[in-house]
Amino acid sequence: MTLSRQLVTLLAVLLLLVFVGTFFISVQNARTYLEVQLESHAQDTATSLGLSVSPHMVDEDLVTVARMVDAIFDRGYYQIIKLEDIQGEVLINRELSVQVKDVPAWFIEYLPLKAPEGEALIMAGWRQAGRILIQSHPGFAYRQLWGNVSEIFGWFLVSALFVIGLGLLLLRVVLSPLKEVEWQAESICNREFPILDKLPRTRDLRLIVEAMNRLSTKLRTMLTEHEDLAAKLREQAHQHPVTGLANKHHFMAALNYRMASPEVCSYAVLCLIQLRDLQGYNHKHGYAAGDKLLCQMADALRDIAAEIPRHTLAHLSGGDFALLAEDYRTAEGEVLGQRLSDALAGLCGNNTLQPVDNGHVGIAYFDGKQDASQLLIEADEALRVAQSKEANSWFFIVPEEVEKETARSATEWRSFIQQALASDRVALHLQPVYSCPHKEMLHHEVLVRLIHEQDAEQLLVAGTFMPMAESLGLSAEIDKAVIERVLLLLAESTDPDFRLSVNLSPASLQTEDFLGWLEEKLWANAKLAKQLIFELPEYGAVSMLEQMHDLIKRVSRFESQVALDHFGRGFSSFAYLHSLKISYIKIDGSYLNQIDENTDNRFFIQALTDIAHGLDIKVIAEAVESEMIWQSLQTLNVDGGQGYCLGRPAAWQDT
Amino acid sequence: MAWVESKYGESAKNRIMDWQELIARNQGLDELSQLKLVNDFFNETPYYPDDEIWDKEDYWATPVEMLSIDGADCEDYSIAKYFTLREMGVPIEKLRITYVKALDLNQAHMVLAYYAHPDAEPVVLDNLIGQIKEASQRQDLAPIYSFNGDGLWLAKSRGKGKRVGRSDRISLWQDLITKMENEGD
Repeated sequence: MTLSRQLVTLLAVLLLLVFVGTFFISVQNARTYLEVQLESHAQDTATSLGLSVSPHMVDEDLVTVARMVDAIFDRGYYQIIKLEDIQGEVLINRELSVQVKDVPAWFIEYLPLKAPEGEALIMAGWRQAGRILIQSHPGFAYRQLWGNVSEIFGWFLVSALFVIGLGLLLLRVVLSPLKEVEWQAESICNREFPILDKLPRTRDLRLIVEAMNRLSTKLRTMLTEHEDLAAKLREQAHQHPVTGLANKHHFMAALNYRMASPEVCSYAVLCLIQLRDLQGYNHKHGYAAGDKLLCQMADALRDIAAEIPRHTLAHLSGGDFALLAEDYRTAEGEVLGQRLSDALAGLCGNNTLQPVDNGHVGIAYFDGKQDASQLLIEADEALRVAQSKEANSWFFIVPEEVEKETARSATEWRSFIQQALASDRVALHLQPVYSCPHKEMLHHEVLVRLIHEQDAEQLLVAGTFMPMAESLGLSAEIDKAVIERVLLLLAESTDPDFRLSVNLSPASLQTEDFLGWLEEKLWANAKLAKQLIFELPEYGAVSMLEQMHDLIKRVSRFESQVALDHFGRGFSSFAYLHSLKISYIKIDGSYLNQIDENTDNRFFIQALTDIAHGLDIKVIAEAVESEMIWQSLQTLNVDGGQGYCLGRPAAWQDT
Repeated sequence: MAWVESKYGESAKNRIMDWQELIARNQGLDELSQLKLVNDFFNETPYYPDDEIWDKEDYWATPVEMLSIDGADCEDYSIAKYFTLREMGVPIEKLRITYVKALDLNQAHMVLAYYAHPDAEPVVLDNLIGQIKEASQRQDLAPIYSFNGDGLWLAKSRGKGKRVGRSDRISLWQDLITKMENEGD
């Protein structure tokens, strides 16, 4: 029961007590008054009638006496008029049955009115001739009492409604700060830390609000400090001190992870950008100028990279930069090469008369077959070729034979994906996610494959077709198809702990009807909804927080969860985590590379885990590819892990 | 009693004590003798109209007031006789206070009538004529109407603005006694 409801109840009880008291007293008074009236009325009539008939009793003229009695009786105000002689024998008796109109029977039963008898003597001279007994008819009195009671009741009802309404209004005004504090506490639980500026006038409430404000501020500071620490750790371990871009170590880890995970990346374009003779520039203009040039280059590269959905941009060392554009094919690679070359040409340093030959770009194509070092060698070769050509030029070593699947044209891809969806050539593979350190099953991640139209044995992994689907605007169609199949899978299973995480494409969230469709689906499968988790890549989530809030708001009504994967890939701030009510984050595989040796990575993961736990968010490691990594995770407070070492993706029937 | 003495003098106190002795000593006596004793006792009190004693038009005094002041009008005689006889054990239904008209004086008057039986001819206790006589011998009085004394006292009290409920009726005599005792304080 809320405080205001308690107070209103108290008010109502008090009102009721006052009313019952007043009501009782006033009804009692009215009753007594009416009864006295009935009595005096009866007595007066008896006396008057006694006086009137006495002269006629001397002659014993009973006929006249009877008519006189009737004349009074027929007025209708009497229940009984009885005339007895002095021996008690009834001479005249008139009775009217008590019928009370307009007054309910229960009322008469609960509040009976006594109509006392009035009595008077009838004299015949000195002799007592008899006695008159009169009882008034209580009908009028009942009607009056009933009217009285209804009126009091009506008044009470009206005034009670008024008083309670007024009370409610006052309470709402007085207690409104409590509502705000409640909201504040709720917000703190939701990882927001609002401050209430408006202090209530009531002293006790004001103290509470002030205390809550202090608490909110303190918590926010604590979390911010934590985040700053983690950000600093990450900066030291993964970012170049001058340009703030990823360093060589980080880039290599990311490249290794991606080249080894066809699920994540099936094809890509790697660009190496080298500034020409940075050493000489430093000598000539000083290191500060050199650093400035590097920063300019970094900014230009950031601008270009911003247009690539999945990319890794790094400052490797000296004047060497690298840009990995995932899901880019040769044609897009060529456009990218030109843009990079333009960016080089546009560099001017601190001297507008700087010679125009700033550097070169070498580009290699990743088709899913090379490993990281092989790809780097190819890009390096391309860079040498570019250096042998004109100033600021680029060179792309285009492989002679691009793999068949990726060689499909956009139109072919469209029809392939649409046909695959239409003819149910969709397969779901499930990879288990285990808790750490006890290795209990948490849930399975759903990995979607499309079956080749000619060869049923050949499965296309998401990394192959998803980038295409996104650029063709088909990702929502695929996500819908997957969710429908996942719901069927859940419906078949009787295990309530069987939970599945589904990857949603950020492009789907931006598709107009997708969220509405999802909400309807969950509504229709409300029982299964709580077994569902929706995963989105971090780079997508941070760029569209509004849609993320919308998604979380809609699905959490059905107890579905939302999570982020590839977390930490871009160096985005952690601040947005406060506002997102997500269940867990999956640390990007590149942070797990050589975790057993790399203490920087360990520190970072530990700090990240601390922050996440402070926000009630679990941390899961992806790409746990070896027992060694799994063992290292045990000491880092991570909540779970997934990877080849723990369980490979497989069709559900097989697991 | 001391109050009566201090206010009205020793003779007043003696009259009241005589009255109480009359009641106490004659409890078992036959009713006709009681009637005579009581009639004679109160008829000794001299007659004064109300407006001379009480400065009021129509004041009904209690027996104590009447004896204290040593003066009464016709209502006071009838009431005093009625309550004294009741106290001496005469049943209520035998006593009626009767409004009459004194024909010779052409004046409103009040007497106490005693009915040996309900339908008998009554005897009249009056202050105009000291002797108790049969009603038929009182040609100087024309009866108007009769009341039983308790009811009349009740009605009169109500008229004075006192709240008298029905339940009080039974204990009216008790009230009167109480009232008289309070007067005695």
